[in-house]
Amino acid sequence: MSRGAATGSLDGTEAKRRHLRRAGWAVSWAAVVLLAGLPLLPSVTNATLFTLTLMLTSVGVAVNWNLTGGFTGYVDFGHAVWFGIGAYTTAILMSLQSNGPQIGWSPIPAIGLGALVAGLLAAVIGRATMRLKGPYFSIAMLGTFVAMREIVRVTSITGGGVGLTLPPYLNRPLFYYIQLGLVVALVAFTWWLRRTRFGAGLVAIREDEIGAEMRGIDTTRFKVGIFSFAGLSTGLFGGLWAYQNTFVDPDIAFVEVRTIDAVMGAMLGGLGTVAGPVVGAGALFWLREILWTNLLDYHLVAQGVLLIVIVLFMPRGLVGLVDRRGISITALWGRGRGRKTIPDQQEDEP
Amino acid sequence: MRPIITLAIAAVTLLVLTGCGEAGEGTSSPDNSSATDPAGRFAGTVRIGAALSETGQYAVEGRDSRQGYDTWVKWVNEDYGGIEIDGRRYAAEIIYYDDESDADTAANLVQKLIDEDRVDFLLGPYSSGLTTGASAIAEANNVIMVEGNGTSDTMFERGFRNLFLVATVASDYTKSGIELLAGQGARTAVIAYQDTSFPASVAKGAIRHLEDHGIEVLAVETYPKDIQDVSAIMTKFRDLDPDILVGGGHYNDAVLFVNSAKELGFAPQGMLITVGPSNPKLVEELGEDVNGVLGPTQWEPEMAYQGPYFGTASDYAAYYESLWGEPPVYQAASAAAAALALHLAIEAADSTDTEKVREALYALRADTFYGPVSFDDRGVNTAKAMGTVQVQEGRIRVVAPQAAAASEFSLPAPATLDPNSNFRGSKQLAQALINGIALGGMYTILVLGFSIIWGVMGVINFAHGEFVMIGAYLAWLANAFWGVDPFVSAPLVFVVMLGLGYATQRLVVNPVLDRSHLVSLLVMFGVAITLQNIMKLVFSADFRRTDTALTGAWELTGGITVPVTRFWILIVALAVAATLTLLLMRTRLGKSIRAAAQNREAARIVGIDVSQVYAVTFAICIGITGLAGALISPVLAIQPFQGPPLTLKAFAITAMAGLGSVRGALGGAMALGIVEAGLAIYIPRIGTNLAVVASFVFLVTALVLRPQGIFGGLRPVDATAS
Repeated sequence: MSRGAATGSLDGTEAKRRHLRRAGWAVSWAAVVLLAGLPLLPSVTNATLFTLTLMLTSVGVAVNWNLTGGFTGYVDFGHAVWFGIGAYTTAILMSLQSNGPQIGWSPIPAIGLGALVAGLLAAVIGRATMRLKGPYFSIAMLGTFVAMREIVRVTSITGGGVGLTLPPYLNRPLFYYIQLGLVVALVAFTWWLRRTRFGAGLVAIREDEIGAEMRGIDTTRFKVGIFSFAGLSTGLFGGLWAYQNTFVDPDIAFVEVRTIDAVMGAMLGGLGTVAGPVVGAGALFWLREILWTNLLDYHLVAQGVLLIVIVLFMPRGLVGLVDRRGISITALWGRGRGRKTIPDQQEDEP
Repeated sequence: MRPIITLAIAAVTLLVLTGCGEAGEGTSSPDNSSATDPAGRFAGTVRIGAALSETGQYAVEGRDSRQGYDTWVKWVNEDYGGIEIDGRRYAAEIIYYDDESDADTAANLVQKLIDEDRVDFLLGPYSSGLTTGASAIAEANNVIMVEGNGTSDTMFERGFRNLFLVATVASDYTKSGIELLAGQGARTAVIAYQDTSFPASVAKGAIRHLEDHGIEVLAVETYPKDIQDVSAIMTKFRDLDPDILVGGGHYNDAVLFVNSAKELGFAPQGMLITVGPSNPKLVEELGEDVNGVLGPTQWEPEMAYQGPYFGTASDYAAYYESLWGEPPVYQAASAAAAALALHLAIEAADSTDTEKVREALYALRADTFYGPVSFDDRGVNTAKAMGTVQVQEGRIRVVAPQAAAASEFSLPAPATLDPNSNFRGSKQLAQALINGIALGGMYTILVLGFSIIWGVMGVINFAHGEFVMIGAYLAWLANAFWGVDPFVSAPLVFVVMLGLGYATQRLVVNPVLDRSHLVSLLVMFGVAITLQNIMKLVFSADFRRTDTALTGAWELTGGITVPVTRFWILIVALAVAATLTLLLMRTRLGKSIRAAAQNREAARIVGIDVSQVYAVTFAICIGITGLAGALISPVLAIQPFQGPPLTLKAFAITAMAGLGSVRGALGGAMALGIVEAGLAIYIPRIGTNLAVVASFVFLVTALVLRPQGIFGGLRPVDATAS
């Protein structure tokens, strides 16, 4: 996978990078303040908050996906399985019934345990599947996803194909703030992680796993660790989603599209960068609204074409685009036209 | 570089064209269908909101529902003179949004209708899944929702006070049909249903109704959504020799059931299929094979219902047809009836106040074109019985309940095979093996192209299943329009797909050959999404099938049968495998292919035009894949989204058996076929569900235990090497 722009490995001038970094901070803070203040505006209705909450879910899952897909290079085609498990665990706990009195859990512990179950399962399954590399891992995860949906379908505690319903408690502003807080915390975590030894270890696994191992990095612990964290975090979003959706069944809790959106969001924004999945998933969300509105049935065709175009022409994503232009402009000023400042980063041969 | 530019131009052109074509038809702005009121006849407007599917999975039913609602709007404003509240007349206005057949979107839009459009009442979306989410929002905001097209029982067990259903609930779908068959002397039954929300509710109810009539349930089988083959279930059922088969899920499953029963010679006295028989499309698609099949229906124009509004059922049908130029399906009638029930309750309450209208809805007792309407305390209309139709000589006739029947039940033709009711032990094992080998033959032809492409150029063709699908559609076109047998059109399909394969390789595969596995995987994934949706636009998502002369089953000793179509597919698969082996091992081209697979650079150095060899290999493989699609078209349902499961099976078999190994493909395909057939036959109830995931369990276990693959191939498998 192409090395992300924010890894700091690019050969840009220090001033330029500082400038970019400062701009990035300013934009991030402005975005957070804007989003946090939004519900106070009188013209913003619950419906708008609901849309934004859905967008935040999409962004959160993309950020989680990027933790394994972007940082360690393990492209997970079944990430939505953790979303489904979080959603289902929450729903099962909240709709528990004994003969007579409702003994369902209250939402906060239910959602929390849902995330935990997702994280634990991710640790167990990750230990087996992360032995596999490249496409083998990708497809094994896709298999896990499909298998889990069928398992949920034939189990009785999950309500089988009929699914489960939850009590409707629909406080839109509350959910909006919870998810906004989660996404902000998650991005801050990613930013911090990139600066730790652990984060560096993850990138080392992506670049050269055997080399990383030889340097004494416990690659299994590193990659399974981050994989489990991503599972836990996506499970959390799943639980929140289940509570807001007020019902789950196998076909709406385990949806391939959630994985596809996360992969596309992270790729569009820039794989393995901190800002990439946020920008990408956000852009994708609105792009989809626009495509849907204007293209109706064609929008899925357009989405397929978009995926091809991103992979072929924008391997560094939107973030990479900004960064590269910035750097090449500097190069133009300082060293004259036409000089290649960034070596074309070819994908490594399998 | 040139292919990249071509592709980019194509992409941009596509975007621009579709953008221009559809611009201005946006659905985010509300679409008002209220009658203009220049004369000032109305004192005001009653605002009603509805989220309906204009796009996505439920686009057709969504449109029918909308036409139903609009029929009522037109009638109430123009013919009836407006809703009468406190002596004054109010116009009805419905604000629609497109929910894209997506639960999140439907919920979001209902929220928007309540908050931003400030509607007085809501009408339901289409399908139980969408209604479940939407009704929770209506409940939380205390807005009444009347609906006719979301019938799962679970929605009405939540204690909601704002949700009303004019249609019959899912659990009562089979009630009148089972009553009818019990009256004909049926003693035993089997049930098979798609394990999703609505069909599961129907099946649960069916089990209860069967037991109420003392009918013994011999077996219950479930199967997953998107299933393409129910033959294992039908084999099991045939051997139990039941009087009744209750089954199905959605329209497409009906095609599978009728097809598979015919293929295996299974003909119970009563075949009651949940969704499909009431739809004229099914008769059109399946012709004579569907004669005698029973199905529930919410409403039919020939039903003997009538009321003071719209008149009789057939009056309503005529009015509807004058507006839309087509006869109403029951979804449209249910929608209109839901709107009518709301209308009557508003008039009875003399107010648009939620509390008063709710009381009026609970108190409502009305006779309508749709049948009697009276809500119980769950909000379900229990006064109207579900109807049952039977396809009789190509016509859909209402045969139950007595109050609405227009025709007599007719007994279908007896079974063509004599089923053996003592079918256990070695015979069952033999049957499982035969089914498994037959399935293995299909998997062999399906996997060959995928395996060679991966082995030779290291590309994981994630659009493999889509090429199968296109091959199947080509065979369907030849079959539907010129009556060509798919076994005859298969070679032609091979030639066409050869060209498509060559173009695809040059256009999108070649540019990414030097990049990692994942890049080609993602590009082909993009190709897959694009092809699926193009095919869906062209052919719709309805299941299709082709007819072949090589159909039916050969009966061996003791009731063991060999499916004829699959037998011939196996023969062709073996022939193709042999030819391919010869091509790879004995010809100059084969030598170049193997050389390019082993070492691209070295092959280049000795003068092989590697990129040409790759393109030809890709073309041949896609040709074979298309051929496979044509061959399986009489057996598996043809539909735009049939590809992904096939791709995953191909991946599982190839990764297990060795990349680019013809022998491995054959061995792996047979192994998987036998395991799946065994699971489906030996595991009761959920066997078919398990067979679907068998390949993954197989794959992950095999990879983890033996990452280098089982058989050798052109390229070594090593799942743990990056």
